[in-house]
Amino acid sequence: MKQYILKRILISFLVLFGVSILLYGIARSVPGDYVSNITAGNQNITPEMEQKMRELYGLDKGIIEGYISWLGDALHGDFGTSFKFQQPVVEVIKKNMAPTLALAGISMILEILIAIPFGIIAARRQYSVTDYTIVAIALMGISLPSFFFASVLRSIFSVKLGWLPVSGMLTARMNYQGWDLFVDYAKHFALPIIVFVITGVGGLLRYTRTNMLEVLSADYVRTARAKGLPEVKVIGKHAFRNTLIPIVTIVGGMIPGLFSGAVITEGIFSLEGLGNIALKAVYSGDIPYLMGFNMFIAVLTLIGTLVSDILYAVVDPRVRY
Amino acid sequence: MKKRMISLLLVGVMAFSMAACGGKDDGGAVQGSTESGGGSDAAADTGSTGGTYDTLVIGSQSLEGVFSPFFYSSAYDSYAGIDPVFASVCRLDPNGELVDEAGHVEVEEVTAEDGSTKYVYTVSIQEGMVFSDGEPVTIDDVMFYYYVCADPSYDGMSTIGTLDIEGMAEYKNSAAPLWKVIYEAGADNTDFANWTEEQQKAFFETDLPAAGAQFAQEIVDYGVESGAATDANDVKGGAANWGFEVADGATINDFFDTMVEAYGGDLKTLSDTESAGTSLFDFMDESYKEVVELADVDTISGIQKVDDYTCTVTFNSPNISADKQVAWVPITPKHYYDPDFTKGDVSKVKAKNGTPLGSGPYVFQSFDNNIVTLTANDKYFKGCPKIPNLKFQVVDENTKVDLVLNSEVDITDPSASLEIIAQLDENADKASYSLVDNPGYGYIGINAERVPDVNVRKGLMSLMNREPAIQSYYGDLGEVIERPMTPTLAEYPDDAEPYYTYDPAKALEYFQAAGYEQVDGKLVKDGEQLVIHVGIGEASTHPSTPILTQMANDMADMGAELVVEDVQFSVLSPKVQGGEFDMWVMAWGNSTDCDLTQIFGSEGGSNYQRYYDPKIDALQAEILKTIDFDERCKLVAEELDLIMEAAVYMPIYQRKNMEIYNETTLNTDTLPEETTTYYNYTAEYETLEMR
Repeated sequence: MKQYILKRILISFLVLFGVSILLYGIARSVPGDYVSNITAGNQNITPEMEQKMRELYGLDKGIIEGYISWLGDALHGDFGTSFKFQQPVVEVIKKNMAPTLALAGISMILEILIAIPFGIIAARRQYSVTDYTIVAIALMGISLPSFFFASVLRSIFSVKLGWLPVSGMLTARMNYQGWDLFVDYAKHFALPIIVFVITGVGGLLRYTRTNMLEVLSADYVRTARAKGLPEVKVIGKHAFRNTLIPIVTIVGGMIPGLFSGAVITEGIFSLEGLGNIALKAVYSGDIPYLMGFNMFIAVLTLIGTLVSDILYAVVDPRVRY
Repeated sequence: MKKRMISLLLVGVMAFSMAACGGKDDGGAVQGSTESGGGSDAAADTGSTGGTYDTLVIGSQSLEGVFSPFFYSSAYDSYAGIDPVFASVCRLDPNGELVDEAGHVEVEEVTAEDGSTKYVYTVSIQEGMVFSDGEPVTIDDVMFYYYVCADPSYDGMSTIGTLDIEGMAEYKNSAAPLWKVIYEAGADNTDFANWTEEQQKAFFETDLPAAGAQFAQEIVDYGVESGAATDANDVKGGAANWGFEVADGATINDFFDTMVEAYGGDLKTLSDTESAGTSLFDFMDESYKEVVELADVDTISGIQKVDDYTCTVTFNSPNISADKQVAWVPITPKHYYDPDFTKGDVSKVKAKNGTPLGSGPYVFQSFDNNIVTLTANDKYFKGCPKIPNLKFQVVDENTKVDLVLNSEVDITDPSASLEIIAQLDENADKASYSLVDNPGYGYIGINAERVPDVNVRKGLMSLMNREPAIQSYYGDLGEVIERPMTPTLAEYPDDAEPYYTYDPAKALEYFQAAGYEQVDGKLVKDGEQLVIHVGIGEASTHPSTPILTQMANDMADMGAELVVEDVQFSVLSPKVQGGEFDMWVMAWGNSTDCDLTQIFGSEGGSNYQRYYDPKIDALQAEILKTIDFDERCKLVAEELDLIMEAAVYMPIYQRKNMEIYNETTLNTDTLPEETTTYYNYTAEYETLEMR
């Protein structure tokens, strides 16, 4: 096991290296660099000034030269300064991590808590009204475009009823402290989380249902029933635990999603999360931020797959490395 | 039974989820999702707490958090974290003219010793002002702003460093790569303070000729590949292919010398323009690229301190916007940003990007949760503002109106549309609005290098049906303009007549005049069909899209083709700059004066239409020198007519900007009497009041 993990970590470094080359190549090949973006539409900028700025931002270098200098700095732990935010990339990520993590983390917990029980219920009563209702709702959630659903929810709960704020993270007018501040945060995050959960829960739910169906038709479940075990035990002990195996790997794969953010939902509700600013960074050609952020996500993805592989061995004694 | 099970389960899940996330309550982290049940008091929270409001909330577009007058690049960063924090020497009045704020500026023409005319601007500030930290404001703080913006390592947006101020060029260019300083000093130089005699000898005798030979050889090799030169020794053929003439049997070094001569010894431009792949300096040793500081020039001779509250800025040439450039500037505390500022190092100034400090009406507190928090500055020279707290909250464009109607935001600026006007008219008791002209305009440009025949360009212009497109998109919120300059500028010729009206028959005449004929239903010249590629950014929501649609139909009827390339703005812009479109749709913003040299001058950096006319250049030079307003208007009108005649720029629309105000929370009687393009509530923070 130890050897396996060690090997996987070593391979991860190689993968990261390849990923960084790809990412840098793509980021630099995007048409329109940062300087031309910030100077577009400004009549007072001279070509000399633009050239000077390119030199100062390091954009006059070729892709290979630029990559080598980025790699050199990155290996020393220096991910550079974001062009757009004029702050070290690591700082920008740290600063904007909280809303993303809160939104995605709470939503993920809710999704798991909803998807697994309902997936199991649907599977146990396959082809019943309950099953069809659950699956239909799940499919509706998957098919709802988040920007549309968000607007509908907002026009009902914020504009018409006035229960929840329209957007933002806090009520700017008030200077809440302590518990009130917490409640204010909660109110602002309620709608985004609802959008996130309803549009995201379907996938996991259907996955759980399919797996459960497979397990329920397995021989050992029939055996358990045949030997007269109560249904609660059959489902809870024999079937459910086996259903968990593939779900664990899926949940492991969801880890990077906690940080990559939800570009559209964050944008609509004006939450300054990582997804929202990553999108802005793409538009403006902020190379250092894009590199720092994407590498961060790449590392998390590798960790996520490693963790789910290890968990696989934990939940399934048949798997040995 | 089933139903009961599900609802029980649901309740269980909800309860569990509350328990699951109720535990973590650490600072920035957030909980939620279970509020809808007992959250009916939300409206009360966002409303009043006893009848009076003490916080003005302004809805802003997304912020980058660069609240530094030196380094910001987003206008919204400036509104939120810079404008309220810094007082400026002068500002614009409702008519866009420069007026005194915390200081004053005056110009005087003087004749220098060498007989040339210089323009001396005297900038002065009021005495007795202090920054919000209590330190006194002096002219050093104004000069500090000039110096940071002119610094060789400055990478922000201020254009002060490009002005023709006496001594500016020497100040900016005193640091240069080694090759440049050696080369410019010449082979006969005897001053070896910055490099050794051996280095100089090696450079002129071996390194430069060797690099030049490699550089020139690359061009010849390129010629061999393309068939223009017979072999690597065919210098004459390779040079001719590159547009240079050298004698028969010339060596590769002769070719390089010819190029150097053609560029008047400017190696940098030579290398940038003529390189066949590799830069000239990449053929040299890396050490030649090291920057040498010539140390002598650490002040700008044209910027002189007179006393603690006065300085002068001397310009070598006249410039109609020079007064704005030197006086419409924020007063930035040197003691705070970098008391020991030295040339070539703006890092300490940059380190304060997130924490501005100035002498303006408000004091910056924080930028958290997408909200900028500011508090009233009781040391403000015009008196402490009446509203104690000012906050800028980032909001989504589509929610701006709802936020004001919900009283979450007091002032914001949605992009004006007919729907919004209708919505606000319905809610006149809750919100009011103002509309002002945007200081810019939309246009369609034609690349004169790709469409060289003026008659073809005129034909295209005659196919642009602007009125219906703009009327349906903007209604009263925009108007068609007739000359490529924003009408918000006083010099705009208001009586200008349309230069090209929509007339497909006339367009066909123009095309025929250019030598096109309709053969088999196709409009062709020398067997080639007329095909025009036009670039537009995000066409689905663009006001000019109907113009292109109609144009495409009309051209198809004639047998020509209009290829519309709908791309994202960040793609459009570099493609237009690179001259990859025959025609493109864009807009200009932020015009503050009638100096159009950047756009229409032969040397202009934004002359994307690539039309060069010495007559226009001469007029522009004349305009910049003409202080008399009426005379200047005449010249501007003449210049604009010349541009229209060349048929490279079709002005389309002038649109309006909107601001909406919350009638419930804000005492709108205290807003400025006149809100214009150049003047709004931000100029009068100190007198604004809440209800």
